[in-house]
Amino acid sequence: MRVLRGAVRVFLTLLPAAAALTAAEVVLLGLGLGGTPALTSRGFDAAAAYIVPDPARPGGWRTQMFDGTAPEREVPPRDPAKHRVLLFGGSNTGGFPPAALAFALDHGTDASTPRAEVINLGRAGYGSGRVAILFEQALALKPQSVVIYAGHNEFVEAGFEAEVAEHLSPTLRKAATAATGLRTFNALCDAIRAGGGAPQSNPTPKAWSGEFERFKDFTYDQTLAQLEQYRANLTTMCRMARERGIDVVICTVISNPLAPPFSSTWPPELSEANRRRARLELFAAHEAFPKRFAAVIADAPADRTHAQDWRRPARPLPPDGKVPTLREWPSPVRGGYHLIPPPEHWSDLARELAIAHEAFFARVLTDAERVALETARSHLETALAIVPDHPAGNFRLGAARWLLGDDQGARDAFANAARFDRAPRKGSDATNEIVEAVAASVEGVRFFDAAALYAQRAPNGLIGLELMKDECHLHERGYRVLMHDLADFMRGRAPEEGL
Amino acid sequence: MKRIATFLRERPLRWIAPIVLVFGGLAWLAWKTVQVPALPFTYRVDFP
Repeated sequence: MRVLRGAVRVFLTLLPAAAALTAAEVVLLGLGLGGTPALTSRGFDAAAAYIVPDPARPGGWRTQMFDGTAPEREVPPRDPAKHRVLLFGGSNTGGFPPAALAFALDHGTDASTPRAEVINLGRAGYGSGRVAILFEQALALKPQSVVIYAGHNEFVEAGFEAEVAEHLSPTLRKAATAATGLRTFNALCDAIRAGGGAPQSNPTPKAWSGEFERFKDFTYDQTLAQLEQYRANLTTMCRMARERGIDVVICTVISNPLAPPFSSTWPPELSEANRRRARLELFAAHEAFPKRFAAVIADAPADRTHAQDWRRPARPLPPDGKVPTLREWPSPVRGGYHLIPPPEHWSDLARELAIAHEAFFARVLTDAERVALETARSHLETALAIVPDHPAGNFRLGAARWLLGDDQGARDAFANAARFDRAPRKGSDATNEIVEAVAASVEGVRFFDAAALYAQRAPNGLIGLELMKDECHLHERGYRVLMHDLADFMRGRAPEEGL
Repeated sequence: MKRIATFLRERPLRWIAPIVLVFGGLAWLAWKTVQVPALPFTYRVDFP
């Protein structure tokens, strides 16, 4: 009896609130307000609709993922006479010219082969997390082939996700996502937005560059744990597509081995004494390193080139007239200025770095520089005997070995520097090995080893600024060549035939 | 019905408080939610 009385009391207490909420829902329904769910993430949520039916074209679709930074993709209704290919990934994929890929895929085929229809769904900043959400939705476009080129953005994207979590904790996000089922909640969001009461954060281009810094204190074990999510996302995408009989091509990503690592933390198990010893050795190596090559190993944010450093408005070259000679790549890449915009478009930083790299690749040393480099190498080897996975130490060792003529040793050390980077902004052997393992683990997935192909083509096996704008982006013509390579792979042709 | 009417008349705080809590909670959650950029992508990772 007592329990019953208590239940009645609770019922009476909550009834008016429930009635008020129901009344609000009915009124808003009548007014047509609050019908659009308020999204609670930057796409880290299956509820974020990346692709929606196009009301203007029955059977067609359109994207809503570029936020005004690029035209949204308008996808026509499926044409059975065409072979639809979807491209997925971050800004590199976004730079892939779809017409070039379609042309290369159609090249040399007869009339009985369906013409290629390539739709680029790559978006700057997307890592495998958001690509996987987009991927699932994009299966509605009924592609015959999908190409996944992702691996540079795992820590960039994780930084975005962390920032979303700072605005809204996972618990609150769940609550907000549940609340989006109420018109009252959605209408409140609209009203607050319209009133300008709580402006959304809309960072400037500069703000993005620090996203990876959230992870700069990661230990390497934490870095590897983060990469396991990458593995899981790739596996999910491959399985989803293969279950529907879709041809899946998964690619390793091409990186610039000469872009220094972004974070070098000490292993937590390292004793204080050993840490001190290693630090002193690294410092001594840095001091000994010849100043003429200092720009090559400089790793401060201001020392790194970005995409915009190679496409400034044209201006006269400086009075000294120094124009670096870039290395030539073999056909079909054809390096030097064929790949890169002319020097009139370079920023001062790009020019200085290209001049330093020219000297770095020429390897013409004075006797004093050779002695200094041998000293630096010795200090670095001592430091790495204490901390073998120190990213910056490995990178500098790579530079010293290269200058001293040890090509293979240099390549190995640069690869280790990228692999052990605690907060990388580029793919590495670590991510590319995951790609290969995923391809092997999901039946029918085709593995395109773009990284190996380009490392094999690069002079001395070392990719440089002739191909790369920064740590992970190819120059525009590089993308065109890559599209031919990708088409050759997809059509089962030898790499060179497509050009 | 009579009992509900009596309750509403005699114990206003007991039923007003949940209404304030529900709508206040929703408003607070909405305030927090709109501070999170809502579109799938709001960052410019690519420079113009």
